[in-house]
Amino acid sequence: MIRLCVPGTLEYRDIALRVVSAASKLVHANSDSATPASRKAAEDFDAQVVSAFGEAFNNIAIHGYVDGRAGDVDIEIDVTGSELRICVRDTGKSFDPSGVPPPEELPERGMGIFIIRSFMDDVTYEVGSAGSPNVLRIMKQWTGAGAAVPVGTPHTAVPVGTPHTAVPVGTPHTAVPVGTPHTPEGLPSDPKGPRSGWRMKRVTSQTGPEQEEARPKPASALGSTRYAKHRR
Amino acid sequence: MRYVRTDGDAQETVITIEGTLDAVTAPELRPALDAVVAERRNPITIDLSSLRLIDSSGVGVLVSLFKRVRANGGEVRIVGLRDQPKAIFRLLRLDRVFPG
Repeated sequence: MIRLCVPGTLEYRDIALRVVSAASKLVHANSDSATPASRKAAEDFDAQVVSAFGEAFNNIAIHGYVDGRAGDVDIEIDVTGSELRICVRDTGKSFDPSGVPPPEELPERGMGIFIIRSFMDDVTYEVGSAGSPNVLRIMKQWTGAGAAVPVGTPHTAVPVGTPHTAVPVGTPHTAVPVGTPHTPEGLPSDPKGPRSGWRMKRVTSQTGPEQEEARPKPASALGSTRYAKHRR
Repeated sequence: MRYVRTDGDAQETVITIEGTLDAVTAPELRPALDAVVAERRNPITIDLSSLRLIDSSGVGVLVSLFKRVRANGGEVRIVGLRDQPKAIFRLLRLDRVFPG
């Protein structure tokens, strides 16, 4: 386990990124790196991890610790076998993990969540409260050069217009976030949608959507949101 | 992040961006991009062959440039994409938007 705690400001982003980058390399340190394909797969893996984590850190520093809020970012990195797991905790304003722009709209903001969910294999987000932090957990599995998914290819893997009905599991997006999460501007779509080539599995714990929408959520009933990828 | 602006004899401009274009450095680039928009330079070529890392904030300033130049009837080209920046552009489908 690697633990790092830095102030939740952009000045400390590079330090955190360097630690995550070094940890990412541990995942495939013992893999065969003799071929260009395997080296490329390792580079892609690291690039995706660093990109996703960087966006997570940005979210906290830019959108979380605002309006007079300040605090730390607690980072835990766990490398187990072929899996890299990163847990990021903060006490800033929570965000809406479902707020994602469709790239075809050329958004200028709010692409971070899309990047996180596209590049990582599993993403969960728990909205914090006065007594508990927001918790973002991201996971990526090293599959080696043979099964690696080249960066940037998910969009082309599935024909446009593929029905989305088989994908969602659990509750609608609007049911989960509580409090006053920020939603990046102009971002209504889902990166695991029809064009993504990945399926999104959404699991909402605790209470159901109707109850959550009907009343403020107590700290004890905070839900978590999971976005898990499954290759088709 | 370091950038170099090179103006051609006509209205064309090449901006070469090196290093990291992210939430920290993107604000430093924005005034330079604002200037080429205000001066109606066209076409504008962004050379990213020496760019090592980009994040959504960095992408945001380039998309903003693209939209404003296009609104003026101009063109923005992105050249030299590779590695992580190329991955981000492909993921966001920007490689289809910006002609190379």
